[in-house]
Amino acid sequence: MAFAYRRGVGGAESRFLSGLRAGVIRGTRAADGRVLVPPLDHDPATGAPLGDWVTVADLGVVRSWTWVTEPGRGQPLDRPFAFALVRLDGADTALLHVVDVPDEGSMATGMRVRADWRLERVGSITDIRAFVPAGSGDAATIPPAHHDDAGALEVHSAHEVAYRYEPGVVASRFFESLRRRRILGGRCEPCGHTYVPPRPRCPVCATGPMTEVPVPDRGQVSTYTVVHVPSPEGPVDLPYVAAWIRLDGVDVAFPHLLGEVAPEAAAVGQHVEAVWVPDDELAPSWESIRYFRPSDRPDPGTTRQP
Amino acid sequence: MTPERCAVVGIGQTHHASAGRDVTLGGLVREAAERALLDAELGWHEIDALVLGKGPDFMEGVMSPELLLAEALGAVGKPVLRAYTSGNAGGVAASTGVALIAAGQFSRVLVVAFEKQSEASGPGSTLQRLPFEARWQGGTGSLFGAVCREYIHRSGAPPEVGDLAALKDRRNALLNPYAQVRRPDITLEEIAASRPLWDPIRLLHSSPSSDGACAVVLADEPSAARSARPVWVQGSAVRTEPYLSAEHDNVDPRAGAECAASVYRQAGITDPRHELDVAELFVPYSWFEPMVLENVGLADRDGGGWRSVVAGATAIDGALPVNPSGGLLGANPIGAAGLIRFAEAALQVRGDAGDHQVDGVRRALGHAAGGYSNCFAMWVVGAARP
Amino acid sequence: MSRVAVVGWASTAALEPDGRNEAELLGPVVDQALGMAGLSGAEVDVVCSAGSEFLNGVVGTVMGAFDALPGWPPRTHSHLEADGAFALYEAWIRLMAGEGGVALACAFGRPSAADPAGVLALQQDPYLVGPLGTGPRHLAALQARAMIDTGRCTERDLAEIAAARRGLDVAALLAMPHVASPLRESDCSAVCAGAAAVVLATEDRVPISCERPAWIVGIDQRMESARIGQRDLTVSTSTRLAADRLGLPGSSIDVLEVHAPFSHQELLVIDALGAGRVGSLNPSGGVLPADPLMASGLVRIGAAADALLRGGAHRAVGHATNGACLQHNLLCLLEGA
Repeated sequence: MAFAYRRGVGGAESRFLSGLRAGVIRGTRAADGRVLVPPLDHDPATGAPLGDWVTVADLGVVRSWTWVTEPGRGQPLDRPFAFALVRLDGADTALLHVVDVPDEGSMATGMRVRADWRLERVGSITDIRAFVPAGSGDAATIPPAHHDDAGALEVHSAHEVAYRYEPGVVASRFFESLRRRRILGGRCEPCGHTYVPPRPRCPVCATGPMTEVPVPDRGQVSTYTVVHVPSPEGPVDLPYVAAWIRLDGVDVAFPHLLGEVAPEAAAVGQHVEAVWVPDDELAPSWESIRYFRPSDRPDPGTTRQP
Repeated sequence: MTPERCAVVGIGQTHHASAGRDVTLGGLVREAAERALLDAELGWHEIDALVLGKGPDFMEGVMSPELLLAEALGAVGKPVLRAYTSGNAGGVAASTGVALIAAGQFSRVLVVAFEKQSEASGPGSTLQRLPFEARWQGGTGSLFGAVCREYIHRSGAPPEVGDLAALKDRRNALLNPYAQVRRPDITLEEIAASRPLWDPIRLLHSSPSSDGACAVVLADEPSAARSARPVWVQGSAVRTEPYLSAEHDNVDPRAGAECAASVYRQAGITDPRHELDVAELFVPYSWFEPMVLENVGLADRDGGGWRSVVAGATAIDGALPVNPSGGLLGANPIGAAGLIRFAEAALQVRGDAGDHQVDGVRRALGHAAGGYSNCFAMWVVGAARP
Repeated sequence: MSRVAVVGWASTAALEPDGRNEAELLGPVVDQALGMAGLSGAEVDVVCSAGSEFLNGVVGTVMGAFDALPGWPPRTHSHLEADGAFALYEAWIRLMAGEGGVALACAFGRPSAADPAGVLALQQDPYLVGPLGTGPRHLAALQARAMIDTGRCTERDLAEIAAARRGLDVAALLAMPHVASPLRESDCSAVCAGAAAVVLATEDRVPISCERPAWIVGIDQRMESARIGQRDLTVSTSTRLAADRLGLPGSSIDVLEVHAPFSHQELLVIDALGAGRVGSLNPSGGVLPADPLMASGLVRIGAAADALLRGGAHRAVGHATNGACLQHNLLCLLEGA
């Protein structure tokens, strides 16, 4: 699944990031006098607003580090590097960032590093490409404060997460049965109710397993809606009817499509039957049934008021 | 074992918007929290515990956001609980806050609920499709449309009921400075002609997508004594039932009815229609108003809900005003929406609802719902100490 | 306020995916816990569940677990996106608030994500940390190195903890490469699917069959900043705060269960507790060999209560944590009669 977020920024984060865009690192002074980098809007101890801004140096000391042997997606470098907590000169807290050195042996707590700035900066923590070892000639300088335009900043997050979904043991048997054009129901013996799909335990009396029973592929519409809004992968033709179908002998309804009927002709209580897909389209999925269509005759003895 | 009494001593919310572009998650939460503390005349150091209510973490793409929000909530060094459950998260958060006070563990609790749902693109909202489900199955709107259709079938409600309920809420929203959607020239005809979404639900029957936050400060009796106008929690309850169950009724869920019965019982209410002066109900689509009225016992179950709407009984000057704030049609930041209902109920009791104040409110109902008509949270608040 | 006791518990950890869904994992665990307590689902007044949608990859993941929970007729139920230990905290609070006499606290986690660590990275600040792609192991490693730098421990000390929990040989572990220096794979918990359930009862609802209820003397939980550069990573301040509130420093504890997803964190928690004596540490094996995410903290409390329920111990502490580098910590103090 891919998630993408365009995040608005305000307050201290905004000032900090616009500072990075201008090539400076800013912090706020807390109630106890400590300079916080990254800055905060409010004092962590007292909750009071913090407005005393301080520009700190772009070099400092590594307070802790860890080596990343195999850089992953979403990390700023594509060769091994270190994550580190860097306490910049003038700050009392450490900034989390990366240190770019050729090997693990080059890292040490206490080493001095300086920011390696990107030429093109956008107002992101990655405007600093990485920290690199500070040469002995690098003196701590506090650059003059800039009055920069804190224009609208955005932070973009994009994640791709691979999920492996499993419907569960009982549900898997149900989907397998659909592939064979069979609908499996589950009957809770103590309650006497039949469920489609069957459930591992009865939601009413919490007993299980349910007795597997075959159910007919015909029933009634218990309710429906005419859908005018396209869902991302939905049927192409709008409007379509999404109906909740209660199969004969079953005590719950499930959602599916109504076909071969004009939306105005859909009705609560309508008798319907399944239309299955051809053999080559069968799959362990609800889509093995193309849709339900009105059936002419109700089975005597199984019609029930919804 | 007597539970401690609990009062609302501070209320705050943000101006709900379609997108809060110039504020972080922390900024959004802080704004509501600071307003509530100011209203309560309390400092951050006087809050003993925090409850954070929020909808699905997918909406903001941050897992366990209470961790990120430690400083924004003033929570460093304090206990924190996250409340979720489902769409009733904001109400559940209040219920958890009340329990923290009632259990005698803390004197002052800050409850904050928020959602910043404008920033997601992709399947960041409710009900995404799982690989083994059908392609057309996604979307809660479709489910809600079908539930409304079932109500119409059972009750014989005429089509204008959804339009009338929407008109009322939208007119009320004009009187609420915090509402996001304010259409001064809205008409019944425009609502009735608006784009159909999931029949019978139309566009103007529906709540917007909102960014927003709400906060309340809850206090025990000694702390409430310092407040000029404490609003007492007279009843609080949360009820859930399984939704994929032969016993579950989407239109009139037992969990909703029992949640209401519980808060009425706690508050000593035997005739809610007359003993409540105003109700803030969770109505994400206007067709839900008549359903909820019947479900919580404020109208007869055979269509009394829609008849109340048609008769104007739920209008701001009616016999039992519903959603004088404009309700969810005014603003729907998902995780906060429930708490906003609870907070608006408290504002009414305190006489602080400004232009949308109902006269002479002594007792009010707040209601939050979620899931697939199966998760509920409610409270009754009043001027009288229980 | 009425006293509340743990009267039953159970857990399961599925190290390999076996096709079971949330309800199928949780259901038997709930049955076992209730069975141990001598109570039926119908007697449960309050249900507090916990899980993570992000890990399971499904919005509304709790809905899928309903089959496993006592749900009909309707009752008080709330769900947290957090570890089950916090659900237990809420359940305890609700019972003391008079919302009922019996509560079920439960948790389930079925990390469907191919890379659970990648999902846990989403707990981090999306503005300033997210773009760097820092994961939970990296953050834990920064904390471990800080402890080594201050002389609190060595890599060998960590390997000894890992060896003890996993039943492995110290020298063999030390020969393995780092995954995030100074941490090795063995220093990091084995994340897996699982579920846990703990049954609580007020004094008047403890069944006769429960001979040795584990009384909850107190639960305290505290949070720190998410900004690890602002914290002293060699001290678990929030655990210390909670320990002080419960009167633990200098006291004697028979059984201590620590929720330490990384070996060095066990030391941090023990230091912060400042107990005078700890009889048995992590008799369950702790979290390193099997870490059912979202249930692990609840399992620690259940395992701590277990020693009292079975007899042989009088005072036990269960610890749970959430967030990188022990940001948010909970301590549950239990005593026999």
